[in-house]
Amino acid sequence: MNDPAHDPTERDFERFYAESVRRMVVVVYAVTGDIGEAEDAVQEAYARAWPRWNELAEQGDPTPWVRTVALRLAVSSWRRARNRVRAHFRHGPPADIPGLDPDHVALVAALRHLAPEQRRAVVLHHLVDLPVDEVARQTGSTSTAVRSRLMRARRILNSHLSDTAASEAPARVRPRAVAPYRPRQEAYPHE
Amino acid sequence: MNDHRPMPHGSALDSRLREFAAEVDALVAPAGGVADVRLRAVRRRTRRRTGATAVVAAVAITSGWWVLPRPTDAPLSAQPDPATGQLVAAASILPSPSADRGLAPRALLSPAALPWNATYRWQAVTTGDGSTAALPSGGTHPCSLVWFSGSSARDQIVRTYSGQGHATAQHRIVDFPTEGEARRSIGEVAEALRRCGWHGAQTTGEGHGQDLPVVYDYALAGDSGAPLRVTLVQSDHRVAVLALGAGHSADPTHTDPRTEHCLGSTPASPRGHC
Repeated sequence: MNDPAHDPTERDFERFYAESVRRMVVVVYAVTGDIGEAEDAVQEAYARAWPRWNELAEQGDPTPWVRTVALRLAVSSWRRARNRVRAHFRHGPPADIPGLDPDHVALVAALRHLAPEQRRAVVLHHLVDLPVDEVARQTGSTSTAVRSRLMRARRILNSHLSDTAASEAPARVRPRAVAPYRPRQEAYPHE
Repeated sequence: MNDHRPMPHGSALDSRLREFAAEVDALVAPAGGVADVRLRAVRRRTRRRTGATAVVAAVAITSGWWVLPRPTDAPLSAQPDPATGQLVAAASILPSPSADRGLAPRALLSPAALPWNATYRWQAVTTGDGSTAALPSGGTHPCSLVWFSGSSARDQIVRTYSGQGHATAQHRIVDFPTEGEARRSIGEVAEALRRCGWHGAQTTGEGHGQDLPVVYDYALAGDSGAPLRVTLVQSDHRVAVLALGAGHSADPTHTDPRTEHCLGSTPASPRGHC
């Protein structure tokens, strides 16, 4: 029997997983506002990528494929659990990650006030650094609709965030912790 | 309109989201890792390929029997399975939990209920907390099988058996604080068996809206040619292990006629054990 540790395909997938999973969870968490749902959706997306790994790897960077599937799964499960979440809201929002900075807790809370398609547009454009037309392509929408969602989303975020740096003040001077996304030859899910 | 232009006033929001991402990135640790991903892939493939059989299994559960489908696929990296339609009664390996969540000796199999009893004529040796009863170790190459030590297991109960021809067996039920931890533990054990070269025979899990028990079957040809076989079952907050070391048979999937007859009984007359 082949030792998985020496199987190049498995090693390749494991390396991709190790290098991308945390970022994937971050993105999906930003969209859903629920860390448990985000982790579950991300794991499920990788599980769907694994059987077609060779095909995805040959087509280019599998990251957009996995991210798109994870976001679809997260939104789908979120809809199913919507009534449960609304019940929780009577007692407070879902628990955030322990130890999260209060500013970031406020950001997650503000994002939850956005409609799903607004939140997804904000995260893909402002966090993943996708151009508007790329956001439109990955979400099955039009560039005009995406720009409209982004403008409305920013107004809503401004009204909920006490820090007005989100609207007019200059960006905080700190080195970027995450490299910007550079679209390359990519694989996208067609399911 | 050029849609590659950045949105106005976006730099502050960009920065804020990136700072948020950097902090969350340092705090998250996806449970289960890549091993969990592989298990999900196997379960998903099993669900898609045993759709009709899952309906039959659901009917069997309603009637009091958990009858598993004939394996139609093998876990990733496994060799083709020569099994001949072996059936395993998951409900006998892991019966319904007691109301107080305690582990009682009556949940453990009687010797007559073990597979291949007609051949090995099992006798119970010990019943206890499992502290002195070792589970199988090793595989097709030097490796260590860490079963439940280091896990969040909070209680265990074990019965060991001996049979003719130096056959040995062990039935163990492990209690975890939550179903999630039990599920994680069985996944880790299954992955460890796979990595140690054990041959996986069948797997089943969730299906069609009903939570079926998670079941794994693994077999290994021992150093002397005597095979080892392990069945893992997880349901609710518990994991059960049925480990058999058949002293003679070279075919770990050899069908036990008595067990087959018992399992072939009409589901309308549910029994806890054969």
